[in-house]
Order: sequence, then structure tokens, then C-alpha cells
Amino acid sequence: MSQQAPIADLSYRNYDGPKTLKTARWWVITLSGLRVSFKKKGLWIMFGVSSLSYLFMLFMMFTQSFTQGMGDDMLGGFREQLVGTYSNAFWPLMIALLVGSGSIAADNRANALQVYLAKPLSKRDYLIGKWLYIFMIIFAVYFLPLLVVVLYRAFDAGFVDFIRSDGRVFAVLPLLAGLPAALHASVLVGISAWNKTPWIVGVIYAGVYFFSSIFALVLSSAIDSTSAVTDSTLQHLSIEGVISGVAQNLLGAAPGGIARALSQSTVPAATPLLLIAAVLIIGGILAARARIRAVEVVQG
Amino acid sequence: MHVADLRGLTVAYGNKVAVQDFTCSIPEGCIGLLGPNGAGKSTLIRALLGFVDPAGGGGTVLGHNIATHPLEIRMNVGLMPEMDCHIPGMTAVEFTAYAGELSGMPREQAMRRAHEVLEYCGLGEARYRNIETYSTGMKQKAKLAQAVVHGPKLLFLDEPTNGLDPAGRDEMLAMIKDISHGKGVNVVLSSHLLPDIEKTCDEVIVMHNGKLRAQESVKTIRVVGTSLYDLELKLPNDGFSDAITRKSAKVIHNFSTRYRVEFPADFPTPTRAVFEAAKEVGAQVRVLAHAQRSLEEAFLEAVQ
Repeated sequence: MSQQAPIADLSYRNYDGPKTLKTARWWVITLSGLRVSFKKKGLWIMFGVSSLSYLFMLFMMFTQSFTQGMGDDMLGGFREQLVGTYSNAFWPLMIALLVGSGSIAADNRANALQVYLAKPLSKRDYLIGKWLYIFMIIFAVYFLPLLVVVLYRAFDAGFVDFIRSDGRVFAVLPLLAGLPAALHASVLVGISAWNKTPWIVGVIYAGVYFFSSIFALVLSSAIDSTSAVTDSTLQHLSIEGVISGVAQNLLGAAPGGIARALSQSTVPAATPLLLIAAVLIIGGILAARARIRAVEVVQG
Repeated sequence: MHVADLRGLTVAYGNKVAVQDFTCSIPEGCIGLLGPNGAGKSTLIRALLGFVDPAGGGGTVLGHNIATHPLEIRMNVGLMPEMDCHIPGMTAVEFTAYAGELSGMPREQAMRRAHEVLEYCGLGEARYRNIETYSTGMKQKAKLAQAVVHGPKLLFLDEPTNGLDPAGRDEMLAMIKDISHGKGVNVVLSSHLLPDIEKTCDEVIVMHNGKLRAQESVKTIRVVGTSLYDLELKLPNDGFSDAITRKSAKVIHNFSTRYRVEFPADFPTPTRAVFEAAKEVGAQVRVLAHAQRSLEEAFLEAVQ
């Protein structure tokens, strides 16, 4: 309260302006999450680095258009190349960690949940708001470069020809971006809700992500497989593998390029991968929902 | 009119009953919620905000049922939590405007109002700084600002002077008194610091072990009893003690010109008797009032 005589009236005045109980109350939290994330320079740098592989793919497509089929054996067709580039999921993961690790953990640390839940918001509104901004950022990180590459290909190959040969790519683009976005957002909010330190959340998720990939590789090597498809499916029993495996199913192609040399060239079975994805998405959200509360209840 | 009505409210955390069969009506104005640590004050506030589900009973806040309409309640109340709390990575203006938006205000209105309340709370130019860099006193002010940004009808303040130095405490209490008197905002101030309550509140609710022990105005709760009087003479007078004793009163204690006297419970005209006794010995009565105790004494009696 100002003690000096002010020019303006600085005494307490009640607010009697508009105030509504909105249906989409979570949108305020999503927008705030986006604003805070966009202020992080690291996000833009990593987005740039993450898009480099697509830029490289564009360059290869550009040079291929002059060489007329040379190198196709190594690189595969457009969809094979797209799966190969898409499967380089390291930088999108880093972006997910950057924007998602502190989503709820930082609020836990600063006791912000009491501030949120003392407002006309439910736990569900809070969770949707937090989940959605992580989802939207990762979705954009995947979707924008994919869209540029696909549009380039469509115009380069002739739109009608492209629709005939690779038309399904347009239809599955939102799913290609949506699955990793949903997976990262759900698992991150789940882990974040149970922690108070964002970097620990990052370490846990990165650990789960990489160790599950190593585990899947070891498992697929250890178990005798009856067919190449089974072997390929076992290799995808990880978060990274699920993302890549579902993409292969959506595009109907195994990875080309460098990825072809590193992994199986057969498309894994979709059902177990979708099942794992569903468990991770639902499990993450339920874990977060179980933990979010305004009051720390100590049973005793 | 009452801002909250509670009927048999019981709140339990597992086997531990934090608030038990709590029935009271919280009137308009500035109400102090008094009780020692662990009395159930914070739990009561949480129940009123719908943070915890009542194990029994229920109640209304601003006419809305606490069990069925918590969102409507929270749209019209403000909470300044006891613990240090803020939203990470935000300046005070962003934090307060965000709190306004979360309460349903349009973004432009929330931003305008955030500047207004932060100026009122004395954060001035510091409002552009990240809250994480604030001192304890500044964080308390930011907490108050986010609680009032949306113009609540009822404000819950949970230990608002925690961690403040004497000057900061006085400033905070002055703001609370200002907001709660004549500005259309009702305040429930939870504290175990009796001077804070005494300075700001019109009425007190005393809690102990989760139960309501007393609910009275601050003036009334300090009255020792209707038969006890404190009086002060203009000058010392040796004959006054004898004169008042002859009027059936008993002198409890006397220090210089000050007396505490007790009349029999059924004595019809104690004030008249005091003035008659003074007249008999040529003394002049300067002060005559029901004997009062400190709020601390009243509180201790209520919780024991």
C-alpha cells in the first residue's frame, strides 16, 4: 500500500469486470505452458538440429531428382527414406525432456498446485492443460518438417503421381506426429507428477527410454525367432521402437537409408506395439492423476 | 448475512480426524480463525475450498455447497496459502495475471488488474522481477496479490504474516485491515499469532483439536465476566476501597488509581454503585468498563 499521495488512486478497489467459468479452463494452462516453453532458446536450437535430418533428406531428394534412380537401392523409396529419417528420435526426445520434465515437478517444488487448485480448476483441467502443451510442442516438432518434406516430394514428383503412389502419407501425417507426442507427453506428466525436481524427471525418462531400447535389442538377439517379422517386433518393444514400429506400419515401409543398415528391414507387427503405446499413454496419465492434489495427505 | 455455514462438518485423513463435527456460521467482515498448531485451521480452509472431501456433515460458502459446487466457490474466493508458493519461471506480473486468467478473467483485464493489485501490495517496480528472486516479505505480498486479483468476495489468509519482519508484518496487517473493512471483501484470517487477530479481526473462531471451542466478537471474548469491572480514578484516593466495599463490591486488585472490582452476580446497579462510592470519598472516575483480559488469556481459557 503506497504511503505517498499518489497521482492515480492506488487504494484497493474491488474487481467487478467480466469473469466466467469457462468450459475449456485448461486452455489457459496450455497457453501459459507454450509461452514459457517458447521463451527457452534451447527449444529453438534443438528444433533446428532436429530438423537437420529432414533437411538432409530434402537435399538427397533434390540430388536424386538429377541422378534418376542412382542410390535407390541404398536409400529405398520415398516412404522408406521417410521412415528412416523419422526414426532418428533423439532430438525430439531432448525437446520433450526440455519442455516436459518440469511440467508438474516444478509446480510440486514451488507448491504451485495450491495456487492452481485454489482457482476454479479441477485436477482434470490442470492435467489436460499440462499434457496438451507438451503434446502440441512435440507434435509440431515432428509435424512441421514432415509436412515440408512431403509437400516438396508431392510437388517434385507431380501431385497426381504422388497421390497415386504415396497418397497415404498425407493421411497418416497427423498420426506420425501425434503418436510420439502423446507418448512423450503422457509418460512425462506421469513421471513429473511424482517428482519435485525437473532434472531427475529428465534422467528417469531418458533412462527408461534408452534402457528399454537396449533391453529390446538384447531380447530380440537372445530369443530364437521363428520369422523375421517376430524378430523385428521384439526389436521394437521399447518406447523408441514403438514410435518407429507404428510409423513403419502407418507408412507401410521399413526404414531406408542408414537406418536400414542398423535394423531389420521388415515391418513389425502393429498390434503389440499399439498395445504398448496405449498402456504407456493411459498409464502415464493415470499416474499423474493419482498424484495431483492440492493437499499433501499423510495417512497415519 | 453469513459468508459460510457449516453443519457438522467432519474431515478425516485416514484414521486421523482433523476437523470434527464442526458447526458454525461465519459472518461478514474480518474473522479470525484461532487455534494452536494442529488445531485444524488449515484443514477447515481446505474443506471450505473443496480440496478435501468431508467425511461427514457439510456446508455452504457464499451460498454454494462445498461438496457439489467447489468451482463456483473458488471463482469467488481467494486463497493465500500458508506455504511459500509461486509458479516457476514467472515474474510477479505474469504470475498475478495468470492467477486472474485461471479465475476466469479475460487476459487483458487480468493483466491490467495484476498491475493494480501489485502496486497496491507495495511491489512497485519489483513486479517485473522473477518471483524466485524475491525476499520472504515480497513473496508474501505476491501471494496476497494473486489471491485478490480476481476481486474475491471472500479471502482466506492462512498465516499471512509467517516469516515477516516487524515492519513487514505491520504492513501486511494494515493491508488486510484495509481490504476487509469497507471494500466489500470478507476475510477469514487463520493464525496462531494473537496480536495479528487482535489488530485486524472483528470476530474470532477458536479451534482446538479439530473442534469449535468459541465464536465471539473480539471485544466480547476479552470480557472476563459481567460482574467484574475495571475502573480508574483521576487521582489516588485512600478511602475509595472502603467506600466501594460498603457497596457490596470486592476489590480484586488496586494499583495506584486503577481498581478491579467484583460485584455479586445478581447485583442490580454496579455502575451506579461505583459512582456513588466515588462521590462519597470525593473521587472522580475517569474510566469504567467491564474487566477485560488479553486475547491470549481468553484463547488459553477457550482451548483448555
